Amino acid sequence: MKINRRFPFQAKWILAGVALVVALLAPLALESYWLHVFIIAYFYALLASSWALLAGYAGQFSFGHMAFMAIGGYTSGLLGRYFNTPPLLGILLGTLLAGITGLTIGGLVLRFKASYLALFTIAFSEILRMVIKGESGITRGDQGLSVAPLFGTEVISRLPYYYTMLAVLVICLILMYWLANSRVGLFLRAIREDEEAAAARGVDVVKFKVLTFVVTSMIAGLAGGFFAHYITILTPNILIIPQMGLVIAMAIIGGVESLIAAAVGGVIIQISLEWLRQFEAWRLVIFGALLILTLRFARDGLVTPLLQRIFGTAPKAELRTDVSSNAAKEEVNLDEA
Amino acid sequence: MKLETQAITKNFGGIQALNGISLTIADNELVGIIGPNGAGKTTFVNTITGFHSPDKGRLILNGEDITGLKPNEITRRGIGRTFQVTRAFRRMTVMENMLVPALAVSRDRSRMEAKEQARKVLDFLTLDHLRNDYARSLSGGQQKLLELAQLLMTDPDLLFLDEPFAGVHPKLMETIFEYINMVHAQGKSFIIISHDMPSIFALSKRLIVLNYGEVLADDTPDIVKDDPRVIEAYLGEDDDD
Repeated sequence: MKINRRFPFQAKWILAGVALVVALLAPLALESYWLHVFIIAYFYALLASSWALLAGYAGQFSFGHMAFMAIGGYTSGLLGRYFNTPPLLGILLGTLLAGITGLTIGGLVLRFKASYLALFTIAFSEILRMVIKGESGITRGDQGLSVAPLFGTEVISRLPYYYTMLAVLVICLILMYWLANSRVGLFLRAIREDEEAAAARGVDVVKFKVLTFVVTSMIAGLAGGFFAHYITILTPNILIIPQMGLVIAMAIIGGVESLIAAAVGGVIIQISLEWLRQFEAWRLVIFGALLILTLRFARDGLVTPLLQRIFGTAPKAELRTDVSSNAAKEEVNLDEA
Repeated sequence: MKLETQAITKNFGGIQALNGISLTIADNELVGIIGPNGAGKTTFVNTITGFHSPDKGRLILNGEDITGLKPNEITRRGIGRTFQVTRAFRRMTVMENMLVPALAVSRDRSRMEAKEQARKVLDFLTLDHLRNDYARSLSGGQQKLLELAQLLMTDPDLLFLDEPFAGVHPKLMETIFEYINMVHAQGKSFIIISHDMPSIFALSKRLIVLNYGEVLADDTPDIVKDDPRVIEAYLGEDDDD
């Protein structure tokens, strides 16, 4: 299968520019409630896309993304509560702590196969949740930790939060896109395909897996910091496994092997879940069915095939034809020879 | 390039896969390794290339002890390998498959330089027209050629080829023969593991026979062919059939 583009390469940047302009102008048409929905959607888009970098590019399946998000949020919240640390400094320190935790876990686990990471991060996430819940004297446990708003109590408008979350999302997407398209991204995809073969070709597999784990942990921590200072209350419930499942589902439904598709998946799923509230409990049934259907019939997610159509990359069906035709071509050539 | 294995031993549970193998591979040698199934051939390659750590013994490359180094560190020191079952990066294009080793072993090499080199290698191996295709769309034989092409991108001094002729069309086999002879003529050493007796006897200047993790014979193909121990342990199997 050859990758032929019907559109010039720059088309993707034009589309990204249009999407950004729409996002910048959206508040003009959105009520305060929907502004809130979009802020949360951007938060989930950040989590889904950074999880996609780890799982879709590097092939490392982690259940700890919400735990790193919580580390970022709780660090900043606790520093503000006990040391009057300014929110931005708190977010920075929370991001760093998430990165250090990621480095520790990655260094311990990532020299083993991917299943160890999944099991380890489930355990880590649950331990962290129980510690936050149990140490209620410090963390306020289930009662919730009050966190200072990012722009102070006098700012009531959601607009500054909307643009801040959007800016954080765009900057992180650009950073991750650059990483994914650098030689590091190339090595990560080789690792995803076959760790041993990548090592045999000279790739330091553990180093690049740990690097990616640290970067994505820091992005989750950063998202958690901004989330905490927007929502202004944190409870251990943000760490429960279904919350992590939601982030994974967003990335998979969007397209786990594309950062943009995963981010778009995060936004669409979050907005859809809000819209589906009218169906009450059935919204989760509809969401679950969508996930099952995506996994069964659209392994590349729902957004990725759409982007492939726009940019002219071949769908899978074409690929299958190409495989057989390529092998057939070889047979013909050999017979002629 | 000079590789020495000093009394290499490797056990898996109660099975002794390698039992004190001591060999020296000199510069520009073309060595074949044969042996019955389970003789320890692939374990030997895996141990030298860092995929297994030897339980005992040392590996010396150009005077440096490389025992226990990771596979990528071994590759950077000039030892390349293929796998018994082809392991190209299937969901990456042929060109991307070439860029991975090129950029992994040299931080200074630009993507453009690596692409130029890759196209020359692919052209020699008749794969250049497929450079933008995904590796999974190549036939089995073409994937074997791609793996051989990847090896050259790391500029190795010693190339381990594990069953390079297995399941390959005779025409592609000719290309692989050409590849081996051409690269060997550039001063590179080869260690080739194969069950394809005509090919391995035709190519090798030196033939090592492994049996039960030990070196049974190590000589020129003509002498090995007539060695009664080899006939009994390995070549004789076919006669009996």
